[in-house]
Amino acid sequence: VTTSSPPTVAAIREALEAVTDPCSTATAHPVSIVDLGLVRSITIDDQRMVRIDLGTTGPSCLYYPTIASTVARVVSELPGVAEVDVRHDRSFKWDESAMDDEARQRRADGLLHHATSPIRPQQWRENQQTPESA
Amino acid sequence: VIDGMFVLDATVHAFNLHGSNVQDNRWARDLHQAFFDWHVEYATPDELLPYDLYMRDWSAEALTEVLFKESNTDVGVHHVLRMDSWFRDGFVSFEKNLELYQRWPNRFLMYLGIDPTSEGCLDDLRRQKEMIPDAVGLKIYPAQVNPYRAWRADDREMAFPIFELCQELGLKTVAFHKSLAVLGVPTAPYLIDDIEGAAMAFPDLNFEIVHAGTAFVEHTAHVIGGFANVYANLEITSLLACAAPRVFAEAFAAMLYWGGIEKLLYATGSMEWHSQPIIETLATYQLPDDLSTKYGLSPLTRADRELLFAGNYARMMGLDLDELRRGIEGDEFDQWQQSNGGLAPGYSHWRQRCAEEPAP
Repeated sequence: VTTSSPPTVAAIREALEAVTDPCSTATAHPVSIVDLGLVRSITIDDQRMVRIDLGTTGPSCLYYPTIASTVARVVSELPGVAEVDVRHDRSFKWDESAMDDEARQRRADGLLHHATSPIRPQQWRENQQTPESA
Repeated sequence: VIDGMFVLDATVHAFNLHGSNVQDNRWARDLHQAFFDWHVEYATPDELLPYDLYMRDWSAEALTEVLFKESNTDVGVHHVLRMDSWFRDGFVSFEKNLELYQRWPNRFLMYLGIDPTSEGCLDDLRRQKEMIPDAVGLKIYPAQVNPYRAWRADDREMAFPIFELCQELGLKTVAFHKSLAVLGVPTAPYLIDDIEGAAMAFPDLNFEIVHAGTAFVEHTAHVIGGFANVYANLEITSLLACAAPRVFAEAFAAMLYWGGIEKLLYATGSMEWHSQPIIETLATYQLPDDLSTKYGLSPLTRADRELLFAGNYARMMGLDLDELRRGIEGDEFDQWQQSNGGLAPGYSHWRQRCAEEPAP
């Protein structure tokens, strides 16, 4: 039995901001599962049992188990949480409209930059030895 | 010196534009004519020469007058040009290099020149270095004509032995004619895509993209941004600041953003156009507001201009600017400027020479 205050939906949602979608991370522009719109619902009962329904961006998402176990760990570490039940909402069909507007724009800008910029500006400064300093 | 800033021009040369120097092929005839057309197209009104004055064999001494009596140039980097398939003497002969080296060693830094498509080019380079032991660089062209043949800077068999020899001989930089395709030939050899392979393989050698930004701006900007030993040499590009300001601004802004001011080398290509209008334009130059905003660039500072005019070149080559400055103090050109109260009008000395020596 925990003695701390019961968890809030807002606190749980905030904690889930840190969980990123593995595919977006692989493209070097990580987006959280909250911003992607994958956290479909969060409920807390009077026994402080937290239930989270998660969607995926595609029906064949191989990363669902990874995402679900990360969500369970992150939420169970929050004060006041007795137990976490993560479920896969298979009825949810994801498209870009599920995303947070700001996150959608950030990702679009990032991908555009990634596509047109094989190098960063003045990358030569970062780690290359110049002939005169050799 | 302009406004106290030392001016080191990274590319100057005394062309031999006399008709007798033109090789007997159509590319050579077209290019020869084109040099005059370009001069007319881009020259500032006060520095525009008529055909019979321009299309001559410019002497080494005439070049010194253009640079040091008529412009704020302090030191020039003189390139031997080996455009052998267009011009019988290559266009800027080794003999002119030798004369400049022997007569005005403190006013010039010397680049040697070879045609990499010719047999014995390595021996040629060794011979030139023996005669000008203080030479610091090599100038090369990526193609020749009649018959047409091209080569790449990242070619391990053809190019890398040249770079290895440069290092052995103590040459610190290789200047590639790029971007401006010589008339009537494929453009591919003038692309920038071979410089990275050379720069990667020879990190202790510098590479200059000559005419940087006159074409292939984005790629050029990325290459100078990515490699510490690749620099943008602004020969002819800088002229566009006077003759085509918007074209210059867009190229300059992109190279400034991607490469940084430290990767840009002031150069004019004088005597092809006169240096002084270019120096005066760059001495106060600022990008248009829309391009500063686009790239998030701050206004150019005096420190930036000092880097552009000489500091970058000096750093690239390990030169001491104070030493260069002391080397020309009180020399014949310094004295001439002092006794004449400043600079003479553009090409006034050449006009005088031509009046005394009618065209042969």
